[in-house]
Amino acid sequence: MLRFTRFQILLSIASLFIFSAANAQSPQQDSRPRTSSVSGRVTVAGKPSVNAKVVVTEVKDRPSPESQGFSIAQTGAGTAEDHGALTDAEGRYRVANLPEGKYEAKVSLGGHVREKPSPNESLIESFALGEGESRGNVDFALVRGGVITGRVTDADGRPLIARAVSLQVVDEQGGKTVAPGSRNPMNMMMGFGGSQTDDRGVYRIFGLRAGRYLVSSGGESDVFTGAGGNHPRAWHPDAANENQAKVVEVTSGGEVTGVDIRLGAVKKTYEALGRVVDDETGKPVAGVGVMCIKVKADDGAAIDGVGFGGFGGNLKTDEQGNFRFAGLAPGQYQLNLADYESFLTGGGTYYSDGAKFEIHGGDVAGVEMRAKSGATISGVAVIEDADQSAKSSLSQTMLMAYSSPPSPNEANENAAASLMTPSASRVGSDGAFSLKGLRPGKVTIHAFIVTVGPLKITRIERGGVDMTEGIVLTGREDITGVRVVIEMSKKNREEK
Amino acid sequence: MMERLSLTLAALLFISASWSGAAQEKKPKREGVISGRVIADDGQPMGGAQVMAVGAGKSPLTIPGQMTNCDADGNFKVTGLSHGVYSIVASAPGYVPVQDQSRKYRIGESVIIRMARGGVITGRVTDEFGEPMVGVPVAADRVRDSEGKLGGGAATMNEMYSSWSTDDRGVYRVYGLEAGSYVVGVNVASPILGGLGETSREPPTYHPSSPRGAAVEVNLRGAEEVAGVDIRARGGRGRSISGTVSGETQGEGLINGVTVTLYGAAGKNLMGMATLIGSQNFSLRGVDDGEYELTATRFNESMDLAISAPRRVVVRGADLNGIELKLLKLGAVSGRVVIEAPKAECETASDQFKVEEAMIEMKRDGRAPGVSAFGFLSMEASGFLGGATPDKVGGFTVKNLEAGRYRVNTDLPDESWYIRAITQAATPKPIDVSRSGLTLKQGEKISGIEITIAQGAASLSGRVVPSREGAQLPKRLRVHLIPAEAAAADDLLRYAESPLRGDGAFEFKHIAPAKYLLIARQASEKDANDDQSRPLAWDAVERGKLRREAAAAKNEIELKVCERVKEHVLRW
Repeated sequence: MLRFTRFQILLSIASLFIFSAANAQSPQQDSRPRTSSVSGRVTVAGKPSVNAKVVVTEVKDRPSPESQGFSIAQTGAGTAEDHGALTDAEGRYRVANLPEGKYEAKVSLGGHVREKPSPNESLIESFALGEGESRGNVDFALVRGGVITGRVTDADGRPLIARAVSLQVVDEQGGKTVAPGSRNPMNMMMGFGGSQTDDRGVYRIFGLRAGRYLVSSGGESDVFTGAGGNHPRAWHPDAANENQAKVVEVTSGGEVTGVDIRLGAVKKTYEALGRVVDDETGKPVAGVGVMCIKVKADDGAAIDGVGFGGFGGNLKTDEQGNFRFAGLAPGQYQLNLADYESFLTGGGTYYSDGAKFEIHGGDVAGVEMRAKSGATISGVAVIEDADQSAKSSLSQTMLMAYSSPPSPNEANENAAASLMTPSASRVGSDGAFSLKGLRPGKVTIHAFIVTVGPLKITRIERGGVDMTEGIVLTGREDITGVRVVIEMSKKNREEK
Repeated sequence: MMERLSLTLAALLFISASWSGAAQEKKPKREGVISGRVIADDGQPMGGAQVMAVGAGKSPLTIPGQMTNCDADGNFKVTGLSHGVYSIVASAPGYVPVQDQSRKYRIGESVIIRMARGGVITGRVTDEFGEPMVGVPVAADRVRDSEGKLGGGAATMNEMYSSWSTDDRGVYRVYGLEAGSYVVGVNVASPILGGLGETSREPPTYHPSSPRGAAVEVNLRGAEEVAGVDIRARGGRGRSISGTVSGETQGEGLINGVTVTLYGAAGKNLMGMATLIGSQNFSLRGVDDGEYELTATRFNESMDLAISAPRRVVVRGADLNGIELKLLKLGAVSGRVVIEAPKAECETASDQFKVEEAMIEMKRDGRAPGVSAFGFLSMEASGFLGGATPDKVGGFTVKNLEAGRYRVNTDLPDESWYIRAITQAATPKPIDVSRSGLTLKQGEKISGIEITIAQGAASLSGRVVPSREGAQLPKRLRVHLIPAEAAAADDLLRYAESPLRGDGAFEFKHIAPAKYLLIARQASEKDANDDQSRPLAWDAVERGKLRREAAAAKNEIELKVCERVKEHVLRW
């Protein structure tokens, strides 16, 4: 698995708060009657699985179920009550004395998969229990998963360490899809999902359903691992594209060895020089943040369809407004203004439409990004709650504003970039906020408390005019007196 | 929309992680570069190694370090740095740093970082029924360094926090380990996920199948592979320890969280950890019977911490409920660094350094009682706890100080700078705190400290040689510099000590020009092996002894303004 450097540790302290924000669970002092139960059977290849651990956990509402990248936090916020059981000689388990609620049962038989044709590919079953309900047949029909293992080396046969290896599933029609959990940027960043090579270059991907797979490494898959090197992506055994890749056939419980991948020569990297100028005065802008994102690989393919192929770097312009990004592999890049110290301290007054450049076979100079003075929306945020204590949460609230570009096409093109450059403002203890550097378009505002999660905005108004659906900006307006009404739900309040 | 918000947070997180160290002022006067090269111990360039420059004395969350990758020749260049003090840390999977990474750098400096292949520990994990445990994290904690010293310095961070998962056969392989002794276990509290990972109800099991206290240590001599380090989990359920955290739970800022850490009372090992988000109640599970110390620490993004006094608890056959931990405010010391107009210009171009490039540290005079309340964060102490760099006009604040006596330590950029005086503003006249040190009560904030830097410092380097031909120098030898004049007998700023390198070489820098006595002296084994050891001269009794011995030895040396004495020979 991924090695954590000491600064990733610190990063993880920060991420810990943010990940938990969406998942914070307070231990409950509940008085619900414990009259429900769940039971079922665990089998492996039709035979009972003895002494298998089944853990039943109550599921609380999760604010962001769709963001699978955050699954790390969802495996347990530490204080959720769980109930374990061991299967008996018949493979049966039973957990009783449960209060009513939504539950997940998870069987701890890693490396096993659901027997086909179950559409559920995980080892988790979700179910709800009513008061007094005895639910049976929460069964797990499993088979041993398949294994693909091999070695990743460079062109000279030297092992490559801590390289991500990803899988594509080849369906019956020959279509290829990214295997679940693989190549998800967040997963890769945290070292979860997919697989990494060890110090011998060896990887081992297990728990696979029977099927046909393509195995690849290198290329953009190493964006978060710090492995660097910028090897072009290669498919087993040494194919430069997926059409030449050798299909690996995995049977249930079978192990395919020797699925080696030989990566090509390290791509030569180049640098891009440029500067940021004020759109109106043409003068250089010093000390603003510039973020570089790779949007397309050098073969022209968009990366995983999300237009995001890794960070080329973040830096600040020097006194002459200059910036320099080094170590860029061939491909298409997008620059954006990231005019804030960090997301915790709020934003600056500029926005930018960004700039694009391509790296082909040489350095690029003269990239210019124009910084535009954006609009400002200011006013007060109020928490509508009779409870005075809820109001003390204001000083921990943060507002974030996104502008939707006028045309949807533009939105797609800059999707990743625009997501990363929202305007942010802290809310003062008196509720005052100021969102600066807003780009023209329809602005939507979001509120959250880092340690609690997103808050619901019930109304946005100005002088009695409802603006909840969005505020349309055309230029450099200075919109004052905006009232953002936040609802502090009971749940949020308790978790605060 | 939620997804969008989450994505943004993730992106922002990454940005702040790799954000340029350029500090708070919007327009830094001049931006700078620290460049260098990362090479393997066989001299091969480490292409693709990651290098990070982190501003010392800054919160890594609000002003994170700047990260860059080495090119194919191992060269790197961190740009966009403002005047300040930086730590440079390289990482490459499978490799470990060869030298001490605590050295500080300023812009314009060039760094050579050497790395070596790390060691490997591998084995198989089975459950109490003998079946392989699949996908469980395995932790290898270094308990002793290669010299057998307990615990480890900052360099052991990677190992302390390493975590690998078992595969479908239960096999794990932990690599890139520094030499030393390790205990390897499952269900171990991991600071990485700080209570976010699967907090198991099962107590931790260490190789071969033991609680922490009975774990068999695995000795790794270097880049070797130790196989067969199997672990058979003990199963069962441990006890739980639960309670509440009160006091200073809310600090300034958007992020407020409290981490409760559990340490073994005997070995001071981290045994458990829970992070409380939006809750005052904690619960640690999977705890074996035994004696422990519990501590709570509050974080926020600007690293304004609050801590609780360590609380001793005993777990015997039952859960422990209702433990109360009270968070207390921490102290701070603030003041100003003043650079005096030069009376003498040394030949080095001293004006290129700025006051922001001086590092001010508050060093504890005396031993901290019990476990450091900073828990796992103490590893990073040199980075952002207990230290600060001044702003443009010399203002500094060192925060997060526990109660106790402190002395001011400095790391100066310019060889011609020395600390002439450290005072505390008071009426009728400032107090000289260089002699007395500073005593902080719990949560006390002391201000008005003035650190005066004078120019014209001397330096002295040389070697200790045995007075008898062919004789060996004893171990743990240190060279002490002692002010010659009686009036300076208690002026701690005039004392200095230097350990000897393997070839007997010693070095003193930033020395006030004056007459000194020089003496080589053997440090006690205890002092030499103690991370918390303090300079001998800080202790009045030892200082007296040192002076008497030095006077008897009669090795007087006069260091003139800006003088660079080299190859000085001191006989032993």
